[in-house]
Amino acid sequence: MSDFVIDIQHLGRSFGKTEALQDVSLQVPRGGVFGLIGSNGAGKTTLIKHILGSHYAQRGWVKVFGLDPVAEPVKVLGRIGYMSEDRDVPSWMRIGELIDFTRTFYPAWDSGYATELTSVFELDVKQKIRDLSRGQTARVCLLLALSHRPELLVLDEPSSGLDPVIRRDILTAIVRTTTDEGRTVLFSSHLLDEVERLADRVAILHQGRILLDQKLEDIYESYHRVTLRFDRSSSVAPALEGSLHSDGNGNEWTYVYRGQKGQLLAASSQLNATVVAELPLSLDDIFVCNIQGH
Amino acid sequence: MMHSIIAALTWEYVARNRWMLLWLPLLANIPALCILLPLKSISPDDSFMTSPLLIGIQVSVLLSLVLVVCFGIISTQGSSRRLYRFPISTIQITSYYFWTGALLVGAQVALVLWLWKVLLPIDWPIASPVVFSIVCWCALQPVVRGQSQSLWWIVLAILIVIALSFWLLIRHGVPFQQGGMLTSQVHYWNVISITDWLITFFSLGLAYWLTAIRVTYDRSGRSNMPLLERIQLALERLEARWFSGSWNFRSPIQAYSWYDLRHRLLTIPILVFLGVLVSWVIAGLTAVIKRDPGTLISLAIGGTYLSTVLQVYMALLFGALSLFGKYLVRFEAPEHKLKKSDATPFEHGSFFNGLPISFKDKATALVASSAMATVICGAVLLLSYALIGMVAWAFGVCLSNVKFLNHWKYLVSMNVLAMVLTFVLNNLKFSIGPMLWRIDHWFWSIILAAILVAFGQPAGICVSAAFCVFVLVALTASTIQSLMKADIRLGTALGIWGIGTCLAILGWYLFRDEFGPVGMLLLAALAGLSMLPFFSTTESIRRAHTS
Amino acid sequence: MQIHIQAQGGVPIYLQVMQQIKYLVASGRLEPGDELPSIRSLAEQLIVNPNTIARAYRELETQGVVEKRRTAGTFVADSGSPLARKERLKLLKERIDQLLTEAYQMGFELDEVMKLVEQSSLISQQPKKGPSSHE
Repeated sequence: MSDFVIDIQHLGRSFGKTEALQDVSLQVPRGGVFGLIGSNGAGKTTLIKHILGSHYAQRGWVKVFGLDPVAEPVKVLGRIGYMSEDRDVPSWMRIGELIDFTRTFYPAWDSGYATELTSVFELDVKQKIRDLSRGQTARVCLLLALSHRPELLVLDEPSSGLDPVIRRDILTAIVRTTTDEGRTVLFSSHLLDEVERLADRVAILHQGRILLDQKLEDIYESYHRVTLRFDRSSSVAPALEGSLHSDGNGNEWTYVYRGQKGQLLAASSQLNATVVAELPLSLDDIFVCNIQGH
Repeated sequence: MMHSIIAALTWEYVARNRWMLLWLPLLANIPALCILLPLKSISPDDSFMTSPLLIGIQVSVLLSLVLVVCFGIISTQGSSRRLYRFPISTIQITSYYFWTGALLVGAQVALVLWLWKVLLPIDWPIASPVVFSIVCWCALQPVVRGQSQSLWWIVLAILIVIALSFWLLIRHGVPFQQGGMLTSQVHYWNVISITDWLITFFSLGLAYWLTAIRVTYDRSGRSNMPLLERIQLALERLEARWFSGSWNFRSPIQAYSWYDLRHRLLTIPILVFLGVLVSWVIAGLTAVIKRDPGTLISLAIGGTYLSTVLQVYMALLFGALSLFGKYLVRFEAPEHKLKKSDATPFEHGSFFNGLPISFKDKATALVASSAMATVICGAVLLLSYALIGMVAWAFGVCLSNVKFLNHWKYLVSMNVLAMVLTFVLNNLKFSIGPMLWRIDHWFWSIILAAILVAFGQPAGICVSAAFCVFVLVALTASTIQSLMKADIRLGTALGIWGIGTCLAILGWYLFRDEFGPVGMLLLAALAGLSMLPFFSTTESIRRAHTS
Repeated sequence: MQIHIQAQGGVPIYLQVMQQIKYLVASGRLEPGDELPSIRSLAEQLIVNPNTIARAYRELETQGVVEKRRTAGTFVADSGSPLARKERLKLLKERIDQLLTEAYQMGFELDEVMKLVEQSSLISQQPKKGPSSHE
């Protein structure tokens, strides 16, 4: 259990009548990148707020570094670098003031690193936050999250609304954090190419439920898209056990299949079909199929 | 359906601001009623009604009312920038906001004053305040209807305020000599003279013209005239250089306290400072015109006193907003939702919730910043009084002739009271906020009030007794809770209770002749309220942090 | 090292990295003994998870395309090794399979394809600077 930086078991949460999270169980191992995928409103930010102790667990429990973030906020938050989705840093402050303000709270703050990041991100410390562009604000928030070299980096939609240049900065920062020993990154995104690049492990959150929680490499081995050619022509797709999605007409039907390759071949031969093509399957497709399946 | 632009804009305004339009008249009423109702029970005879003191109160309350109403209308109307992209002419945009605003301001002021006339045995004029408030609204439009934050517009605003204040005071018969507001020559502004109408029409016209210019500039993207822009840039660069030093906060408490002060609380000291400044300018100008240093002193005293009232009133306004603000924000149009940390100054967004600071430290920081804001206000007022003293000594004016300074007791105690009130109001959200919604705290108050009513006690005593009990119950409950959760040490708790009780007893002793039972009860409640933040803030923070 | 990967292309990133490195080796742009970038620097260059690069390097090592020298890094393996040769053959076979599949689908016969191969070989007379094969 101590191997898990974040350990969530059967977490449930409702806001009034809406069930934001239902029976969510998740474990983030130490020293990796965990990608949380979900469409807007799926519950990603709510889940992250539970990790930060901003919400208490109505059902189930949450442990971060083995501690309850609601009961011990200082111990938990002191080891987390957090970048919120709305990046709501006070707009009247100057960047320099904000850095001075924030570093007071973190004993492990590395001022040299902060200065280095300021120049790498090309920020002018005298500028007021309200005069910054969206991308610059994102860079400031990232700087604040990274400068105390946290054990756990939590990024809520870090690239939302940003241009590709800033996105590179953020993704590069995530890569750099991972290459430092023992540090963990949890980031939520609905941009799947980023998740594919960076994540070791991926979880899909949809309408408050976890649809999938696997290592990325295992995912590729578990999903296949094949075109099967059947003896007989039919107007509807012949039922293939384990398929998430089917498409085509007549003799040839393309399936997205969840399972091992061997199982797929066995199932298809049972139906007297031959595999005529194997098509590439992106994380995007897998995500959509999982969602549609529910 | 929308046959005209006016209909469309009006519909949008009402639809967007349904709840605000409901709350705003209430908000405008409550503070004034808080001041007026107790007065009624203190001194019920008629001579009081025409006394200079009551006229002075009328002026202050009127100014506060105008302030609240104008502020409310401006914030509900929102920025005119939204309309720029529509095919409406600039004149139409200007006219809509200008004239409908004026109408709403006049209507609201009339309504509130009429309500007071009905509820209280106070015979205050309605027509002149309505005219005055409309002029105030219009005069401030050129300053408000623009995006650029320029120092020059602020200077203009101050000049406008000075001019309006002069007008108000002159029409109340303030003789600008020794005694100032508290002489028997002061009277109500009962008649709107020809001069008044001339002033009104002239300022309305001028204001409309200036507003149209401002909106035109704004719409076309031009902010200032180039010369002013260069001066402004130079000032900004100076400011940047002045503040270039980096802050070295010694502890999270200090850092958070600094943030809270600058973010939430600095408005009040700034307003107090401006109030005192404006008073001194008016006083100085009048003294120069009349060549009488006595005028300077009396006007300065009056102005400082008014600033104190302004301080308390603003603290009350912000305190009330902090309690009820989130209900108002919820019904704003989405485009008004600014960055969450700015939308309501009293909520803290995700960034601050992510900072590793313990609830206890955060609570200490917030109470400290409230105290600091109060101290700054007090220092400014003290400086003003000290300056008055120096001027009096320099010009050989005898202060004991000046009314209101006869009794040092009143001067000192009034200011102390104002400071304590400000401190309490600054902390309103965290101290009394969570208590307000707890029925078990109100339970005992209601029982007591019922008993008192059954015994035929007057309304004032019932209400103040109930309130006093409520505060006592809340205080006891939060003391016990904070001790149980180890938010505070036993020694500190006892110390605070001790000091609070001593202060209450001191107040009772000093004012045993002046205050009736209502006053005593309210004083006790105030002492309780000033102790409350020390016990309840940590738990409030804890609840606010985790939902 | 000129590698470009494409996320969301349907091919796992580690496979793309492996394929491109193998191609660079096979075409001679990476010679035996050349050092590959460190896992960390390549990860930062491509902006991918370092574990992905590590996996690619591991697989390449298993297949004999590269070798890991202790404390010194990862280097392109000597092309004479049978594993390396085997890998190159595999790569070539894959290409040939692809070619033949497409040709048959387009309706060409085997002898037509062979003729085209010979013609192309005559045109590209310049000997490429590639790994020498003594087989």
